[in-house]
Amino acid sequence: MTVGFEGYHRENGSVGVRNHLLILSTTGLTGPAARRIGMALPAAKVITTPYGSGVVGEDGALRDRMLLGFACNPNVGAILLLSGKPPEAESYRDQIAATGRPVELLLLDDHGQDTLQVTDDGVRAGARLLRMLSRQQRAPASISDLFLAAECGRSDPSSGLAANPLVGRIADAITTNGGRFIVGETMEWFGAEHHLERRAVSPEVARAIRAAVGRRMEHASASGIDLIGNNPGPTNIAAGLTTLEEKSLGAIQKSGTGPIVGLVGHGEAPSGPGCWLMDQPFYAPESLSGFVASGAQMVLFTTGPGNSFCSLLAPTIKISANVDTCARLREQIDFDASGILRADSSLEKETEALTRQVLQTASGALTFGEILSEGEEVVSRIGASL
Amino acid sequence: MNAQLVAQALVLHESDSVAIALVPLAAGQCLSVQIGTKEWTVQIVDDIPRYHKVALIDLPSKRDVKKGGDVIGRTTVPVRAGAHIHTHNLTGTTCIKGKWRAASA
Repeated sequence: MTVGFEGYHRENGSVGVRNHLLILSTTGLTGPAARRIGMALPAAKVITTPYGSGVVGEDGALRDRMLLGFACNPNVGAILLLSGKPPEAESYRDQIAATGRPVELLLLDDHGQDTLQVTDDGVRAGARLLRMLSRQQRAPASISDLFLAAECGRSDPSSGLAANPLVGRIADAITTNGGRFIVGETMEWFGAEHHLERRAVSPEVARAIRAAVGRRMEHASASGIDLIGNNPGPTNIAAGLTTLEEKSLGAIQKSGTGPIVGLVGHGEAPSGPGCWLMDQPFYAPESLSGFVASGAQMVLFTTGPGNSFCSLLAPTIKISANVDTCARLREQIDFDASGILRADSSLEKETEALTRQVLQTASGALTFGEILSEGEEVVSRIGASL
Repeated sequence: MNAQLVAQALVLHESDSVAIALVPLAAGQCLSVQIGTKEWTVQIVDDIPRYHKVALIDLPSKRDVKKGGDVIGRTTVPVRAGAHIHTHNLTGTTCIKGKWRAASA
């Protein structure tokens, strides 16, 4: 993997594979106005959160990290920020502006609490920003500018046999060429920790991996649930996965075989190149949002029986090695990896083909998820609001 | 389509006790799989759906089950070679009503 792609070079050195206008509503009161602006400007991407006040402690820190992370994702070229909470919103605006991105803030207080006025001003400001973004050009970028995340949703044994090892090949290629790669879903390291620990660059990283899995399993225990039926879930079980250990041993193959340089929290940005782990929830909408807030430009998403969920900001390439799924979900699966289990192809051939598709997608080729507007981003919650 | 597959079933490691069906396997049929220098031939006992696991050897109850060289759980009842291995006869370390249930318990 020595060739590169064409992307949008940002002032802060990151490179976008898309050039989105992000309409970001950071308070529940401004969400409907943000959605109205989005309807008037269908090229823009809209993220809203129903929360906005009384979000404290760890939740407050998570909220700041996620919202700012979405705004500063390399794929975002400009931001229209809507809020009913002036001091916080002004701080967000200043932090976003420091990355060199154009940002316009619309506050309820500046519009006499009139959300129709906010909508009118927002459509006009957004139209100007979209016009400006459409005039920016892609320019050559290298593999070292890529930060990819990997996810598996609705796995089956074909994921662990073929699709995840395939994604692992891409992980190894990206990281050996100076790029970044990240894998999360902490619970799905359980039973496979020994493999991850062996790849950790230091004893501290190995201990952090074990501790993260321990915390997640204690959380499951404290909640009083049956883990079987939740993870693995009914779809996994019907498809042939029996235990969480079996699922995890397949899942971790997405991270490849190279060194694991560190562990970050949900939505936290890795501090350098290499393969990273993110300590985070396993459910795809939360998991993908964590990757996107941490700066990932694209997601490689493997599935067994199928999973339509995509990131809003990061093109999500759906990969399956299940022969039935690839035949059935022709407008969901972007990459048919079932050839790995057939005699007429091989892991090597499919790796070459997926590499080409990743770089084409980075340069602007659309995924089915983008074509069908499947995307969404969410801010996870931990505790109760005030 | 089946003829194009690399095999009817895959075994991933010489120490494994299961193979993964790449096609639906029918009770009564004969299955041969191999990896490295090891080879197994079993008569299929249960109908086994595509991508599900089949036991390659007779396993007593409470025996570790290996796939890909790693332990994925432990049998809860004796399992015959050729039988379907799934949630009815295999459990991992898991959490039932908030209480840990180790596969070794």
